[in-house]
Amino acid sequence: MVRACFPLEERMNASMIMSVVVTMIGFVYTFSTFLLPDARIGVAYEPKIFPGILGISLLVLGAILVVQELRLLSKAKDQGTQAPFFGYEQKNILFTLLNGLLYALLFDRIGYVFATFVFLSIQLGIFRGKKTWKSTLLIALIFSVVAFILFNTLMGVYLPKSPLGFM
Amino acid sequence: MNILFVTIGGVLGTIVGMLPGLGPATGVAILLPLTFSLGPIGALIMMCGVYYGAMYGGSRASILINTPGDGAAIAATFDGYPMSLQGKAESALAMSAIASFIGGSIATVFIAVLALPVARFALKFGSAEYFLLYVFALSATASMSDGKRLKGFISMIIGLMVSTVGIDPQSGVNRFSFGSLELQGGIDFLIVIIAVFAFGEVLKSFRNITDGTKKIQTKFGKIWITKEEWKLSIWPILRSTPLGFFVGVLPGAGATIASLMAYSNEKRFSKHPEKFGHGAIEGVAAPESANNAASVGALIPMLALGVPGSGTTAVMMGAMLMLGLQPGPALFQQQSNIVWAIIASMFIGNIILAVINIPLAGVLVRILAVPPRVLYPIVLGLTFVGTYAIASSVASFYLLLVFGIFGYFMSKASFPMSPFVLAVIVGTNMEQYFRRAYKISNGNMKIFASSPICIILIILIVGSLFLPLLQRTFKSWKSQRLAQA
Repeated sequence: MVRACFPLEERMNASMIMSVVVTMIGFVYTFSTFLLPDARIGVAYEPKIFPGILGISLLVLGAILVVQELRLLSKAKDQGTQAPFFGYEQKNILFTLLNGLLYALLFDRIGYVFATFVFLSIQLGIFRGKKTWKSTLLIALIFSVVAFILFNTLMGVYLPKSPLGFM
Repeated sequence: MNILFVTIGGVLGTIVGMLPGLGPATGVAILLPLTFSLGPIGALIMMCGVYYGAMYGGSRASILINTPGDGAAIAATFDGYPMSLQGKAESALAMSAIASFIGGSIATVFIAVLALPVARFALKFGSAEYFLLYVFALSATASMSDGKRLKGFISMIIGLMVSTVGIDPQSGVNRFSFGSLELQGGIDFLIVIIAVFAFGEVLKSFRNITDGTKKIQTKFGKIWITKEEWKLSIWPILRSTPLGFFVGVLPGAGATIASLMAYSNEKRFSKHPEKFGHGAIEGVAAPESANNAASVGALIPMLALGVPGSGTTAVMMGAMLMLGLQPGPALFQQQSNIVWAIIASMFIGNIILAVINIPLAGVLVRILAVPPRVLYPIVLGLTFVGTYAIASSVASFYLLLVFGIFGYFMSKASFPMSPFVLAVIVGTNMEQYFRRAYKISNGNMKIFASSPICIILIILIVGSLFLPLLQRTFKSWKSQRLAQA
């Protein structure tokens, strides 16, 4: 019943989540700072001074932000405003990230052109849907080849070639 | 060849600047890998071309589809779009280009006159002074985030944290790499910039992506202004240019504030303020000249002091560092040819961009007709290839994804990203100056208040922290008094 009345999705909006995340980052960073090895030359604790100041500052400011966000959240709850947690936007972002990971895995294995063709085909599919698959594949192919020629051939920027050798 | 580079950079910058949400910082970041094979001067000149081009291009989308290309082009929507609706798009586009040209050219004269004296003054700066200068630049940028100052400072601190990753250059201690070989060399700030600006922008586009069915005018009559329009605009341009320039010089202020201030000023000075917002040509002329003047002014702290004054100049400075150039007074002493090449490219770039933007406006704006659903995946493709060109390693893709999603969530939670980006770029230098000053003084913190320059900087830092608060308090007191009256 508690979950039905106060589902997590409605209580935690992006600002609240990020305020907790940055505080956690501050905590982890500060903790890691104290675990850093001492310098072997000069003042032993010198490499820890600047990170230490940053970590403690973030902890303090993050905590203040969490308190601020809790106050705002309770006001929003009173006004009945709700924030969606996982909708269309978040789903597409997740697919984009997974597509990016796939791209990273394929990049060195099958070369720039083929990997980019696969990546862009999927990405255009995410943006445009399945109905326009013919133009999607064409755009992906043109971009992959043109970008390869522009960067690798004209600009001299090395891009991995496919197992076929020529592109 | 250099004229060719500035032309190519200008055209590419204009196109990228037109694309909503991308802007000059992203434009420079994405197009930077194209310049690698050109040598330092050629690369810098092309990047400067991209930088000015983006300033010109940002207002195209404002005028034609009421969607600014970047923050600095917001003011152009107030009167530029109404002019478009009244069938005067040609005048608006022409005035935008002419005002930008005049503003940019006058500001270039200012920079040519002022850059050297500022650089000479900077020779008096020691490690403590430089550290405080960086603190001022960061705190001013963070404080400018209206209503989000706490988040601005948090953003800044996270950026500084990112800059501490890797092997410490002074002691050799491996910091925060968690055993990863790729992280031992540190996190390249250009990858962070591309991730946050370009990749993050694409992720944000899922929120309200359109099918690109917004009608855009691509056929134009003669793109020029009448004598009457010129008479109405010349004084607003001449008034707004120095305003924009000096606002641009201030760290954290930038072209957005300059253009909005210029617009408000001209409305106040105008004999017909009621026309503003309904297609007044002065409402396009003033912010456009201020916008370009500010973008030139922002180069002074970057070139002469080595401290970037805005997110975009931070990207430029990152690019200079990548090319092995250290901005600051040393650049004027040891490589003055680079500085004057940049300044000369500004003059020539302004002329070339005015020439390109006026007759070719109809051609260039067709890019706005490309549906966002096609454009954004292509931008993603460019971010990945640009990242690979910088790092030559697939490991950089993972950094791109991490910082891209990080930038997305930070934006969604209303954390300003300029302080973050600025901090990532200057963090390493800032720490080194701090530690040098600390060592020189044998651990005595009084070194940070030991010279008049240090004390002035401390006053400026405190001012930047408390001035927005004082302004808000003053505003609410004033509105209370008016309400009582």
